[in-house]
Amino acid sequence: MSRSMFIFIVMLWLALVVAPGAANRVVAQDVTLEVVTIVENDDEDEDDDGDGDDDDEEPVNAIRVENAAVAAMPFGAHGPVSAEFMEPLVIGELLFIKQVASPDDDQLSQLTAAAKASLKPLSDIVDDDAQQQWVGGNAVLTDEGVKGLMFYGPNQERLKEEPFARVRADAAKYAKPILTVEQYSAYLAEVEKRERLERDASLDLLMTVIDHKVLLSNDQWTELRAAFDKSFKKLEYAWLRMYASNPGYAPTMRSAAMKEILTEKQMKVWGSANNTTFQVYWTQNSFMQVELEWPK
Amino acid sequence: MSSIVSFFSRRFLIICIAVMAVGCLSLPARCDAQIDRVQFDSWMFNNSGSETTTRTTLKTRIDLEVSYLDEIVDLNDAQIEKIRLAGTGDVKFLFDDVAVARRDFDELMLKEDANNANFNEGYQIASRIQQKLQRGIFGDKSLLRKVSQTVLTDEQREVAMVDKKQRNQRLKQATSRVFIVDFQRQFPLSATQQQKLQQWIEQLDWEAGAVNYSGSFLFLYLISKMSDDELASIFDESQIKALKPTFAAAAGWRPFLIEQGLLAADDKGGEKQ
Repeated sequence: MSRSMFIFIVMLWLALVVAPGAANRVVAQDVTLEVVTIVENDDEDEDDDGDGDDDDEEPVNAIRVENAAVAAMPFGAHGPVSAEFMEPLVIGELLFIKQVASPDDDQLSQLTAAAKASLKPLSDIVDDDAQQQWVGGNAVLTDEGVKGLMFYGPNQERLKEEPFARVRADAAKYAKPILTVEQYSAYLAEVEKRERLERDASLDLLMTVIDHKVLLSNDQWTELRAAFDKSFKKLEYAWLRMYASNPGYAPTMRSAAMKEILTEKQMKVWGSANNTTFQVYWTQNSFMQVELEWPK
Repeated sequence: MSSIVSFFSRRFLIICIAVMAVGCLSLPARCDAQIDRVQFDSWMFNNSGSETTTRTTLKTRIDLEVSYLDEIVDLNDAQIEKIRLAGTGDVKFLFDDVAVARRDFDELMLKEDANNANFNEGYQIASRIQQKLQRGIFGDKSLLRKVSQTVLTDEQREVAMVDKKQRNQRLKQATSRVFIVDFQRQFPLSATQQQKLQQWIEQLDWEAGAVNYSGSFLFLYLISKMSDDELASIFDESQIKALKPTFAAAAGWRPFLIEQGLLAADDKGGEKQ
């Protein structure tokens, strides 16, 4: 058989078998966002000091053969760019405003119209320029946030930003001229509380993942959680959620506090953890069978 | 020249076959080929990779468990030895189960009509071990945990109990808070509603440490069993109406939750009286 024939067969096989099957490689599903395993770090030669962190300045893009199939995912095969999948989030945020700012009927009509109008521009969240290439790499939790984390839509569309953050930012803009100053302040106060709750829950997830691996004492938990809260400016809830749901894996992270608070034995265990990068995928799948409706 | 071409062709052929083989192994549902023991083992030891690494991980875990307790109550050598031995017993029990699973798998593969149906059955057999490892083998019912209690002096036991209570409390708080975020990302709640719901969950009698997908199923199931008054104390009328389909679905999760070990078979699970 000629070489070109082999190339043809392999390409055909990748297209028909591996690429569609890549969707089956999802290791777990989350509530509104799911994450697939993209890259496993080769931790044998990266983490010499056992801090769960690659010791090189930049993370190593180590794609194992078993993950090569994932790289063949058919990006760009999602058809016309659309952000329809964002609609539940837009309705959710609108209902949140309704719940916390108590708009009257007229205000609610205006808010609903503004929320609906925000849907079309939302399509720019899909990164057209990045559709034809899969970008592999490690997502690393640093003081500045999670570097190298990618967000994808339900058809593997690359997204430019985290969907919840975008929808919430849009809502804050369209609600301001419609609500009174008092109503808007009440909304912002609730937003702040929600952000604090989500940050606390993100810290809880991170702590739980570490605790599952190294068995933290109560004092260590308290100290480490406080240190993380101080050092990590931004945490990604959906990303950390997946590590808690898949305790066999651990995120790659850079943290001086861990070296200070964990024992040598614990650091060794953490260093030997299976550092795997999850990228965040949007999905409509949920443990809640709830369909939000536009306010009438 | 022809030998060079031949060399590259052979090499290319080998690479092609290797890539296809890896693909078949990693995408089981799409391959008709019969699975082998290597694949079966990789399913069982999904998270830790292999039997060897699983054994190493579990041995390390016993070390951590002993260190943890030693830090709290200052164990003597005899106590440490007994706890280690108990942990080793748990590991043995696990690998006894692994041996049974392998035997079941071998019998399955010997069937003449071994095909994809059996393939899925094989995966189910492997899942038994996978789930045990995922949950952890040193839970409250483990030998390690039981012996850890019996070898302690009364004074040590008291200190250990206080520590366990604190640990359980912080894990419960973390678990319930994560659920609240999951919930409110699907269904918007005010801060007051979030707090009320979290408090309601925390006061229920459940074991901490289940911050996972199944944990969210448990809480939603329990909420679906709330009395009308309890529901009305947290949600408004329109919210209760919107949540009805969710509660209806969640009410049917009892068998799944029992299977996952999140709900005791004799547990009323917040059933309305």
